[in-house]
Amino acid sequence: MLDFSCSCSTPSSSSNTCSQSLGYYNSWHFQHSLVHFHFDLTMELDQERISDDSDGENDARSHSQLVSAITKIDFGNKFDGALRKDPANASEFDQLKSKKTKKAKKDLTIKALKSAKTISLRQNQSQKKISTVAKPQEKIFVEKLKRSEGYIKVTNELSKWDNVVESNRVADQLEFPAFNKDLKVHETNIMTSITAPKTELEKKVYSMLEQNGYIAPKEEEPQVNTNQLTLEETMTKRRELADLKRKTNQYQRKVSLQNKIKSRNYRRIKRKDKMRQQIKEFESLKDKHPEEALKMLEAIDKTRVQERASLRHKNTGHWAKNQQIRAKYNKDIREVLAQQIQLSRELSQKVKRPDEESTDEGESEDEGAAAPHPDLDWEKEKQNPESGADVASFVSGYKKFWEEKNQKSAAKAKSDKEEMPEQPEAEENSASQEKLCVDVEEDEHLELMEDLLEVRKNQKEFEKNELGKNLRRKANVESVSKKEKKVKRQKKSAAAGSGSWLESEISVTDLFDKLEQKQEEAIEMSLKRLRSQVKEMENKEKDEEEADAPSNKKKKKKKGKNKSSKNEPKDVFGLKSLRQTEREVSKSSIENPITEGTDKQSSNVEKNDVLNSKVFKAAPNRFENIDPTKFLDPKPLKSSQGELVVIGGEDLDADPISQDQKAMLAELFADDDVIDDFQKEKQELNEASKPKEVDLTLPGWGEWGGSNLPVSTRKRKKFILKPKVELPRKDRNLRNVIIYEGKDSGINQHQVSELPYPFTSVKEFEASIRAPIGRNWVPETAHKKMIAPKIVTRAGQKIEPMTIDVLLKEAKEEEKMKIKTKPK
Amino acid sequence: MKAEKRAKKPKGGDKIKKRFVDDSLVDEPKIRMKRRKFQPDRNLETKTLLKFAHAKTSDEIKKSQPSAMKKNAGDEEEAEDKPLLQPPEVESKKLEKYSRGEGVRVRSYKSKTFKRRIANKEKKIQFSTEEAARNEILMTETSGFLESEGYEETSKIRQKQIIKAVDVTSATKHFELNLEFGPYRIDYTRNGRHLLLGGRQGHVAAFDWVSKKLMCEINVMEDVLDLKWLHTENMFATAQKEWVFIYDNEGTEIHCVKQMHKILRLEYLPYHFLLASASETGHLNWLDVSVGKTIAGFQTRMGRLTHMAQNNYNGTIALGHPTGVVTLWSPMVKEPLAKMLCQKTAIMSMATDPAGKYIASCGMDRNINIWDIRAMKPMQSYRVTGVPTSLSISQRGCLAAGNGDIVQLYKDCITVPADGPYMTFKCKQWTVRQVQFCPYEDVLGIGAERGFSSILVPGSGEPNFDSYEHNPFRTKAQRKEAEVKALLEKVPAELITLDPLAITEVDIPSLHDKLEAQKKLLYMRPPKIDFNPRRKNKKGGGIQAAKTRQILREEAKKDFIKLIKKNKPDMLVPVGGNKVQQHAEPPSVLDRFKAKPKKKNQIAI
Repeated sequence: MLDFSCSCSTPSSSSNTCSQSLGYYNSWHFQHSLVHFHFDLTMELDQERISDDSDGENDARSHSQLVSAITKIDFGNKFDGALRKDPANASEFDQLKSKKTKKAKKDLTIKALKSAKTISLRQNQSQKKISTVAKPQEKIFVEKLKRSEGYIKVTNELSKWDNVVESNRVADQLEFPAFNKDLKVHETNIMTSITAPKTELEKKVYSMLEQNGYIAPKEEEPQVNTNQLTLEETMTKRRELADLKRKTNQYQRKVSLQNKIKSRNYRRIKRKDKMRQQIKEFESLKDKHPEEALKMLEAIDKTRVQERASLRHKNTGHWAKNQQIRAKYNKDIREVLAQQIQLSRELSQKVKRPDEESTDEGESEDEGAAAPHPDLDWEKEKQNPESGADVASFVSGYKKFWEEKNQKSAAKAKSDKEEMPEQPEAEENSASQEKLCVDVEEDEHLELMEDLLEVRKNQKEFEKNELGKNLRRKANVESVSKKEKKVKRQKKSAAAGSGSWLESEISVTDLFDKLEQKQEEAIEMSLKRLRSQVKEMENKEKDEEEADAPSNKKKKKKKGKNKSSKNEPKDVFGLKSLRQTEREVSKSSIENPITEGTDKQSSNVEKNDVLNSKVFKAAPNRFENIDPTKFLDPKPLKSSQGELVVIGGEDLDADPISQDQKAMLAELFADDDVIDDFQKEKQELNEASKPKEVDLTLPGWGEWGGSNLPVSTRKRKKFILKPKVELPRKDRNLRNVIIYEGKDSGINQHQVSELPYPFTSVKEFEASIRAPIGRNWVPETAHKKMIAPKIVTRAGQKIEPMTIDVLLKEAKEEEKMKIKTKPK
Repeated sequence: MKAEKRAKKPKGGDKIKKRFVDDSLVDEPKIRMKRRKFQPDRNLETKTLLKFAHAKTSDEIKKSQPSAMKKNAGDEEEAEDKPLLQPPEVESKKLEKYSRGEGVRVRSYKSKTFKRRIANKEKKIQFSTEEAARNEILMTETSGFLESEGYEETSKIRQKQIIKAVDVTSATKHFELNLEFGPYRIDYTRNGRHLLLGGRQGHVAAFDWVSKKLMCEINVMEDVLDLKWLHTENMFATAQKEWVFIYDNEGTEIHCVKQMHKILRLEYLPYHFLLASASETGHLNWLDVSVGKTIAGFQTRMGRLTHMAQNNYNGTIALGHPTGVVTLWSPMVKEPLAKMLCQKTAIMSMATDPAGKYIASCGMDRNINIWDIRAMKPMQSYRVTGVPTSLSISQRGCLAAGNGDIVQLYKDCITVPADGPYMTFKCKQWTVRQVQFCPYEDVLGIGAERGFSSILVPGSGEPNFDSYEHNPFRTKAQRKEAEVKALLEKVPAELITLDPLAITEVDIPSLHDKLEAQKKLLYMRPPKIDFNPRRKNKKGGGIQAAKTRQILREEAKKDFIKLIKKNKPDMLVPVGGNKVQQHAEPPSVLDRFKAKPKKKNQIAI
């Protein structure tokens, strides 16, 4: 017999299918095994669907038959297994059948048969969905999934509070119960705005305050037409604007970054892309506008030519690379390469147009970029020799122009010399020269001093510049002439009629030479003049200094450019002082070999330097020019004894120490040379504080002769350790000072020895505790602010936990703030 | 005299600008003493202002002035945003003056909260500097000055003339006391209100020198070598023939400090509550007067200590020695923190600047040298006539030098070189023993052989005082409160170092310490382990147990050696250099087939 029931886990679908199919097919069908039946199900179902529509009457009859048949079925001790083979869910209890389940199953089948249509539909669906049900996940994984889902949910929930929590954490002060923000504390400005000045005095005071900027002047507030836009509109507009701005900024940043990319590969790819683009365009243009296409072709060609002519392909071409490889073994090729280098060097020389020579250097940069152009011209010329005539005409025009200009300049120079022999010719220096002349006329000492300094500086710069320029010019001339020679050769080979070439070339070079000479002369002249003036000025200054009154000196001091000389006790000002200080500096640098020696040492020294500077943070710069290694020369002070006679002490004006006394004193202090003693002491300390070597040699170890022999060099080299670092003393640059280097005074008990958590560097932590907060060091208001308690509570009031309202409030307030801070 | 002065005026003398147009003043020297108003407590002022601001909320204002509010109804919000009474901008120069240095760069930190916290803190610091700069406006007083017409020297102006020119209150500050038990040493309290006189022959007197109200006058019947006020005007210490005594303001002896024997000089460090003393025998001693305990006392090995001063910048004690050396001492270190060779000859007198920046010393060779203590560099050197036996520097950098019965005063002589004396005073009480400027007053006190004189030195004292620190007008209650607060804020003696800001630094081991630690590492011994295996009902010592012990010990030793090898001292290298053995592999027969290294000089063609 057959069994239509199914396991508990799969109640509806399988049983339905069984029951339905029974109605239409003979019983032999059911003698097959259940599994077989199950496999055939799909096919049968299709057939059933077809038959379902066709014979409705048959249907009813057969249905009743089926029902009766089923009721007759003997549910004996048959195997009651699950239809579906799901080992995970198959229960061992399913193997047995119970009466209870039997009945239930019967009911089920009946029900199912009654709603055959719907069931068939449902079955369809289920059949479509799954042929086999996926194996349910194991419990562990399911729980894991649940947990992770739950975690995400909860984090989302909680992250709402993040901002509030953070703002609370950051807040300087929290007030509990939560501070009612509707209450406001008005500042005094409200009072001032309300009380309009009434009396005359008040008005005056107000006007004064206004003038001094303590009160903003009352202005008529410009009426803002707020009706045009609603709040939301303005908000959205603002947001949009901000968005736009952000986007544009982003774009700009991106573009600027892209422009900064230095990768060769990137550039090459870009270039090629561009080329491809251009070719594409060109092809599209070819059909539409042939003329434009031609132009474009030319342009492309030109860029290519320029590219090839540029220095970029100096040694990257196939030829160059091959040559380089060969050059190792072949002498000729080496020569060729050398020539190539020479050529490139010549090409890379900045070419200067002669008419621009007298102008600034700044323009010469542009010329450098334009250098390859003439070459291009020559090449073109080679291609079409007819243009030779044009060149000749151009050169002749050039020559004419230059002759004219030369004449003019010569005439000008002559006239200048006649009019004012001291007027400088060189244009570059004219400004400073004029200044100088004016100063000489004015004859003001102080300004002169300053100007003198300036002039000297200028002079040096000028010399330098000129030297550089001359060199460059020479090089230019040479390169130009070479080029011209080359051209000449080409010409000859081309045999085009251009006899004027040679002449023109000579004349041009001559011109350059002449110009150069002239300028050199001019420079020399101006230099001479400058030197003489400087000398004069120096003499003058010396005289004046000798005759000067102290008051004048003070003035000078104030005006002196050198700040360091300002506070120097000795009378070294102006030029003299400058020189002296220079000398001193050089001297001190010579005399301080210690510092030089330490320069070589490792960073430890620097560290120690830092330490030093820490100790003497307050070391003022202005005294740097005082040599700390020496005693200052005492400045004799005037005494204003007048009618005063000293009693009980030494007479102020009388020779303080008589000869006898002097002799006696000399005798007394004959053997104590204070300075030497001090130095000796310092030296000893220095020696003592030097880190000592560590001797790890074991006496007699490794020696045949026993322990009383001197330690062998091998052992000494290996077992005597010396410290790698030197420990520079704090007082190494202070000659007359000894600073204690031993143990600290115990301040380390009070210092922080471990960095607190978020800090990672000592420097930053130190910066964070650098400012005092006590009322002895900071103003009271600041002190109060700094020591304000983190949490303020009110006595006797409940502190409720935060509610969700806080979030809403915050959002509202933010919006409010946004509105308030809208730009005007 | 007038005529003379006028005649003296040179033709070009008018170049110097005249400060006063008033004709009546032309002949008299221009003297201005510091004007002093009673300054109310700064805190009080701000408090009242705040109260005022709090007192009226907008509601109240609306009630009181309805019409006005209607007008300004729209303005209210505006006013909130932009306060009308904006605090004026502070000059960058001033800000720099009060600046606390560079702040924390928080970029390297990830935590947003931390960054914001630090930013908040930086804001507060910025606020405090701004406030400090802004509060300069509260320092309304300007210092006094003495100016001469033309080429007349101010040093020729006598006290009489000055007193004629100044107001009555200032005039009363010049007085002389003729006393018999001299020579006298003096001491002013820190607020400059009270004066202590101590005659060598035992006369001790304390009084409020402004009101001339005597507090006590006693004779201790012993030599008085030095005396100092303690933290308030209620107590003072005197160095007597044998020991140091402490008296109260009524002259009652409170303590006899026998730890301080044969003391020559006393100094009192107010913030540390330390009474420092220098003895005849070269001992230096610090006594904490708040607990009555000697903090430190040791032999300096520098001989008789006759010159002593305190450095207010860092609390160190400066001593002057016959070798021309000035030494700085801290109670925690038994050697001088610094030795400066300030003079080529024996030091005859010494003084520090009240701000603790400069030290002035005078040697036998009549040189006054001024050094910057912080940079330890010389600044000025002057040769004077005569050897000043007493020096003092005022708050505004005026140097007083007493020699014989003459006191010479030099103004602006520290940072810039001076030319001559600013003022000169001849003391009527014979030889000057000690000069001391009175804080916050244009007054110099002179203790001399036969008494005391107080003279006016315009421009010497600081005109603006901080009432929290030193209030000359403080009441009894204020004094009591200040005493308690000072005790609570007592600075421990360990903080006395050359760099007072060391407390804001992190304690990092120095290079020297690291080296020492590494040296120690070389001589470390493997730890001894005392292992006693558990005895499981076994009798006898057992060979096995001994073996286990041995094994464990050796293991521990091996571990230790490994550890040592791992932490090799990198600061120490062998004398012969740290040569690594070249033979990583043992030489083999087949080495001859290896490619030979090329010679460098060969040129490849």
